[in-house]
Formats: sequence, structure tokens, C-alpha cells
Amino acid sequence: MDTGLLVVVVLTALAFDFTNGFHDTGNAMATSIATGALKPRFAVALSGVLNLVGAFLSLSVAATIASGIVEQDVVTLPVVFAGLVGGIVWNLATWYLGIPSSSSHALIGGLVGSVLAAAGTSGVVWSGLASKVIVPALVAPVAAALVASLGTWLVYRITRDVPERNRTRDFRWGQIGSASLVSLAHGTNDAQKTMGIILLALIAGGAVPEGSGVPLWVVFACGLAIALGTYLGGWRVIRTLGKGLVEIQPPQGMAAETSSAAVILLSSHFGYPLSTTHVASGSILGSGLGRGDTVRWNVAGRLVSAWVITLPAAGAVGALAYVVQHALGGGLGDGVVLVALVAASAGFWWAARRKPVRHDNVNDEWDLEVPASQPVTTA
Amino acid sequence: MSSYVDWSALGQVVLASVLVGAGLPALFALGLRGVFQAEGRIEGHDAHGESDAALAPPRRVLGTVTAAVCFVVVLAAVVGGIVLIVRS
Repeated sequence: MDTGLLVVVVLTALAFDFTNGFHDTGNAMATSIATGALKPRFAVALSGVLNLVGAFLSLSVAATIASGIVEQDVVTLPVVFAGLVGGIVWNLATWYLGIPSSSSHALIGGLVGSVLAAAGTSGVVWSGLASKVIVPALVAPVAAALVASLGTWLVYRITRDVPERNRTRDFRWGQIGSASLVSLAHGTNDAQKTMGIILLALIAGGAVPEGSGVPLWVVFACGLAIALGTYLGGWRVIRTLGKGLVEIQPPQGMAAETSSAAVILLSSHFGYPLSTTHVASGSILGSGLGRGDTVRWNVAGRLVSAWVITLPAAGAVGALAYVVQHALGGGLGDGVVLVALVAASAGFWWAARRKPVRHDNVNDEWDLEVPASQPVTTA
Repeated sequence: MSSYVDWSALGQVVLASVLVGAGLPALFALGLRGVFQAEGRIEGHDAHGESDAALAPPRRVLGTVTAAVCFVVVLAAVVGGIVLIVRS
């Protein structure tokens, strides 16, 4: 068995987990950062720690990420590797554009693409893809927006005779608590997906026997990778969620995060898991509707169009990675794809530095500047 | 299409989410309002139900009881949420 490739796949999976962390920090913390309930750097640190704790809380569904979506017998190490490359590249592209898009969709898209390239259309369970991925993606933002708008409306209705100043200050506690719960749930759900990928790779590579549980070092490594990524803070995405969609006040932020936490936890409880990102974006938008505030529909439109192309785009990258791997063959193919992945990541990082979003400018007024997606060439 | 959608799971998720996800913020708001009520920090109302600038007199017992009940339910729900995460 190819030990070198197995090591590369495990490291790539951890790299994906890391991008999953910083891409999704905003799901939990964007509203608390935008309202000033938490200092930006404290918020990402808190979220990172809670993601780490969350990774250890539950280990039951680790191996199920791609089951029922792709045929398990076509999932080989090269297929997993190409799929991860697709997921990482799409996560970095959307991070660069400041778009909160689903990391799970990126990963599934990448895997589906590499399976298509490796085994053709028969390798994909299309009904599973529709019922487990596409339908939930349509439901999540709408359901979350409904819940959050109702919650926000109720909150403002109930506290309409409370003077504005008091309302703003004391709601921050509810906001911090609900955001923490979202972070915890994120660590549990998303770190497990990477654990599942690594377990698949270890089994496919013959390192552990079939049917074995997740080794403890995998739990540690995945928890740590997602926590570090979260702590790094995907400021570009945080900015879009916290400032771009709607202007957020503390009561509204609390309603949005409680809606996110409730929808995420209840949907996985009923065996119908929804994307954290889709839920969080829908909740924030809904909270704006519930307060009767202006929603920047052009921003919302950009998010939705990115969500629509996430699966095919990550799939295209995954398929391309597999084709290159396969055409060159063996260690050379793996090496070339790995170098391309590192180069692409460095490219996105370099491009992002030309117009950086950091903890100190994440809350700047939205309308005063060129959106982060349009780099200023003169800078 | 219908074979791709588990309507009963979907209905349960949406119904439970609306109850919990919108109900908890409302309870928290009611609890906070109770605190303000107990401390006499709520705006009064004139005969037409319009709020006026003067603060209403404190209603200590009513406010405190409302706040206590609401916050206990909210805390219980948060603990329930963590249990849900651990047992998932």
C-alpha cells in the first residue's frame, strides 16, 4: 500500500479541516463581533476553544460524510485526495471573495467530482445527492430565516417599552451565550466530517482494519486543526455576515444566533443535518427582516449564487485533480497535484493580502468601501 | 421529487425549530423585561396606550418572578442543547 499517499491524504484532510474552521468562524461569531458584544480577537479565541471542545463531545457519526452519496467501493486514496483538493480550493476561493459558503458542500462537491472522473456517473448515488445535499440546502436558509425573523420580531415587540440603551447592553449576554452554542455545535459536526475522511483514508490505505473506530490521535488532530483555523478568523467572511447582509443590533444578533443553534441542533437530532453556513446566513438575513431593517439583497444574491455553484465548481476542481493525478500516474501525479494545491493556496493568500480584512477593520462601514471581492489594483 | 424529500422529518425540524429558535429569544426578552420592570426602568403608557417618556413605577414582585421563570427555562434549554450535542 502507498504509505506516502496516505500521509499526504491525512495532511490534506487536516488542511481542509483548518480551512473549514476559518471559513466558518463567522457563522457563530459575526453578529457578536458586529455589535461589539465581544472584542474581535476574543470572539475568535472563544469560538476556537469551543470548536476544540465540541470535537471531543461526540464521535458517533464520523464515518458517514460521503456514504449514500458516492459508491463506497470506488472511494480510493487518490479519489479522496482529489476530492479534498477540490474542497480546499473552493473554500479558499470563496473566503477570498468574502462569501460564506458551505464547507461541507465544497467537500462533497470535490468528492463527487473526483468520483465522476474516476468511475463515471455510476459512481455517484444521484438520489442520495439530491435528498441528502441539495434539498437540505434549499430548506436550510429559508427555515432559518423564518425562525430568526419571527424570533427577532417577538424580541422587539416584547421589549418595545424598554429604553433603547438598556436593551442594547443587556442583550449582549444572550448573544454571547447563543453564539457559543453555535461554536460548540460546529466543532462537533464539522470536525467529525474530517475525522470521517481520515478514517476512510486509513481504512482504504490498510492502516487500520475495516469497521474500526476513530483513533484518538485523529480526534486530537482534527479538533486542533479546526480550532486553529477558527482562531485565525476568516475576517473576510465575518465582515460579510456581520456587516454586509444587514446592520445588526444585539437583540437581533441574539435572535439570529439562537435560531442558528436551534435549527442546527434540532435538524441533526432529527437525522436531517443542515449546513451550518446556510443556516447562519439565513438566520442573519431573517433577523434583518424581523426588525424591518434594510437587507442588502445584492449581497444576499451573491451568497445564493455562490451556493448554487459550490457543488459543480468544487466538483470541477476535484475532477481535474483526479484527471491530472491519473494521467501522470503514481508518485509523480500525486506530487504535481500537491504542488498545484500549495501554489493555489499561496496565490489566494497573496491576493487576499493586497486588500486585507483583519480584526481591526472588520467592522468598518460597509458602503464606504469597495467590496473585498474587487481588489484595488493601485494598492 | 417527493421521494427525495422526507416531509415528516422536514416538518418536525421546522416546527421544533420555530418553537425553540423563536421561543427562546422571546423568553429571554421577557425575562430581561422583567428585570427592567422590577427596577422601574420601563417606559410608562398614557391612556391611549402610547408610551410616554416618564418611566413606569417599579413592579418588584411581578418583574422578579417573570425574570426568574424565563431565565430558568432558557438555562434549561441551553443545558438541553448541550446534552443534545453530547448524545448526538
